[in-house]
Formats: sequence, C-alpha cells, structure tokens
Amino acid sequence: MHISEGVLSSPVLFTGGAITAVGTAVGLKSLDYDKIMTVAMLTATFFVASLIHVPIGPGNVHLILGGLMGIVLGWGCFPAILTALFLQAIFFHYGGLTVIGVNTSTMALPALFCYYIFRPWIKNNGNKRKIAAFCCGFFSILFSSLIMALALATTDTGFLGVAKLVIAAHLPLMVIEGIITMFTVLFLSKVQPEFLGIGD
Amino acid sequence: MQARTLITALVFAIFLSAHPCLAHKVRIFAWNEGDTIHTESKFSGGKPAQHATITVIDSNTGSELLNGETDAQGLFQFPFPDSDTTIKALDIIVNSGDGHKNSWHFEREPSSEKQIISTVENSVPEPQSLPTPPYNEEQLTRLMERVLEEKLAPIRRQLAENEERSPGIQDILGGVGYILGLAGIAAYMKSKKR
Repeated sequence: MHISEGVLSSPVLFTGGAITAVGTAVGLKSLDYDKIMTVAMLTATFFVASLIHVPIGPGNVHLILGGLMGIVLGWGCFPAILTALFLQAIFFHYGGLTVIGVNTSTMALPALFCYYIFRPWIKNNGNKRKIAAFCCGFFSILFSSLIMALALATTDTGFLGVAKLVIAAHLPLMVIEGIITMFTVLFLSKVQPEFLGIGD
Repeated sequence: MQARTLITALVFAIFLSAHPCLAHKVRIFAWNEGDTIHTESKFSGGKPAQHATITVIDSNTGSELLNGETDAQGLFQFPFPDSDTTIKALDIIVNSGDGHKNSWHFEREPSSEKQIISTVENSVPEPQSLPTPPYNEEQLTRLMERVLEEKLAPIRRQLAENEERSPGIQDILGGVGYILGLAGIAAYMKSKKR
C-alpha cells in the first residue's frame, strides 16, 4: 500500500497532499483531550501491524487495520495514519516523504468512508455489529486498492492493469482484515465499550 | 459453530489459492560475476518480484542502456555494456508495476584486468630452478580470476543483500516510543488550552 517515490506525477502528488492536509486539519480539530491516547494507541497499532509480515501460504501478508482505525477514530484517522507513515518513511524508507500525502489518502479515505457507512451499525449489538465490523475491514482494503489504482492510472500500466494487480494481491488481506476487525470490535465492545465510543 | 468452520475453511482456501504480493516496497540488489551483472528483485518480506520491469541507465548521463523483465525468481542478468568504456556506474531500476520502484547503484570496479596481471607479475619472482609449467603465467592468471569470480559471486550477492536490513524489534519499539511521545506533546498542548 506504500507507493514509492518517483512513480507518480506531480498533479497526483499535489492532490494527495491537499487531501491529506485538509483531512489532518479536520482530524486534529476534532481531536479532544480524551481521544488523544486512543489515537496514539491506534497509530502505534497501525505502525507495528504493517511492519510485521506474517508468512502464510505462498506469500507474506501484513495487516493495515485501516477499517478499525476509521471506525474508532473517524476524522482522527488522518493524523494517525500520517504520523505512522511519516515514521515508516524516515525509518525504513517505506513510501517516501513526497508521496506521503498520496499514501495517507490511500489509507485514510477508505477508513473515513467506513466510519460514515458502518459506524451506525456498530452501535447495535448482535449480528449487525459483526457484519459491520467485517465489512469495515474488507471494504477499507478494497477501496484502498481502488484509490491506489486511481493514483497509478497515469503510469504506463494503466488504471485497469494496476487495479487488477492490486486487488488480486489484496484479496486475501480483505478477508483477513475483515475477520480481525470483526473480532477486535467484538472484543472491545465487551471489554472496553468506551474505546469504541459506544455506551453499552 | 458451523459458521466458524465455514470461515476457517474460507480462510484456508484463500491462503492456498491466492498469491499475495503485498509489500511496502520492492528492493533490488546487484552483484557482478566477471562481466555479467546479476540482479535480484524482492519485495520486502522476501517474496521475489516476478516479471518486474528492469531498466538500466548510465548514472552520469542518465541515458537508458537496456531494459528487461525479471524471471520467476526475480532474477535478471545482463552483460556489462562494454561497448562504451566511458561508463563507470550504472543505475539499475526495478518497477513492479503496482507503484513500487527502487534502484541500485552499481559501480564498476576500478581495477582493470591488466592492472591485476601486472601486479601479479611484479610480486611473483620468476622461478628459475623449477621446470616451466605447461601453461604460461597469463593463462594461469586468467584462469584463477575466473575461478575467483565464480567463488566470489555468492559472497557479493550476500553482501549486496545485507546492505539493506529489514526493520527489527528495536526499530519497531523506537517507532512506538515516538508515537507515545507525540501523544504526550499533543496532550500537553491540549491541556494548556483548557
């Protein structure tokens, strides 16, 4: 999910940067004192999760957990993802500083989408919550792949080519993220409902 | 219970069928064996980058010298573009097509074959009493060099591969520390506003 430096054209970089700037500003504004630790915890989770490769099957997978971030943080996912990506870029050269805007948008926009679509469902107890949490994990990766393909549409592989490649590669991850998000949300709703912002 | 079995089966089916090439980045490293340059491209995590585009450019002029595609093991090899001896260094760029791109700077070794031969000639005194071997010294040097190149190639590969290490536990903990520190700063700022 990290696009490397030197691949994208400047209009794409600029658009990504603008979206990230706006998102981060809104995110920081909506951040109140009590939510800071939640954001930090999820930033750390995101940072660690995407560093640890789990060798399963023929390849490696690593989690992104964008859906979980979105559903818990809302607009706060922008500063969270930006921070984690910034650290990854300077520590490990994943992505890069010029593409950080695009990369943040790639992961934060779907997270935000999940927040608006699935957030109301999370408040209901029972099966609806399960399905919503699964969809959160699943669709955040799907939309991330689509946005990534859109960002790469101007390169020589083209939108459809990249979309096929990226979605095929991320298909297992969509299901895994869905399942993990589902279990995490169910666990949190039982143990620490205020973390999710739901009063049970 | 049935639903759980179904999910487990589904997960296994997906793991076994698909080939995820998820990665943060693609990396390439190159080493030489004689005049052939070998490159290996991998995604972070160790999976080879298959059918990725390789472009070789001259580091000084930026002109494209040749290009190709990696095989199923992520390998690609080419002879050093010898037609132009002014080329001192190459930039080998890999592009996996899904937004990952990286390059490796390859410098031609400064010592040319002739220099090695001359130093060998200088250092080894002419054996007078021994009978002359059935091969002359130049042939012997060339033979030794070829054997050495063959033996050195895996070591060069190892060196090139190790130049870039993957993040370890210290890096991860360091990053988490940074995040907690930033949260502390944010909390402090917000508490001042109150």
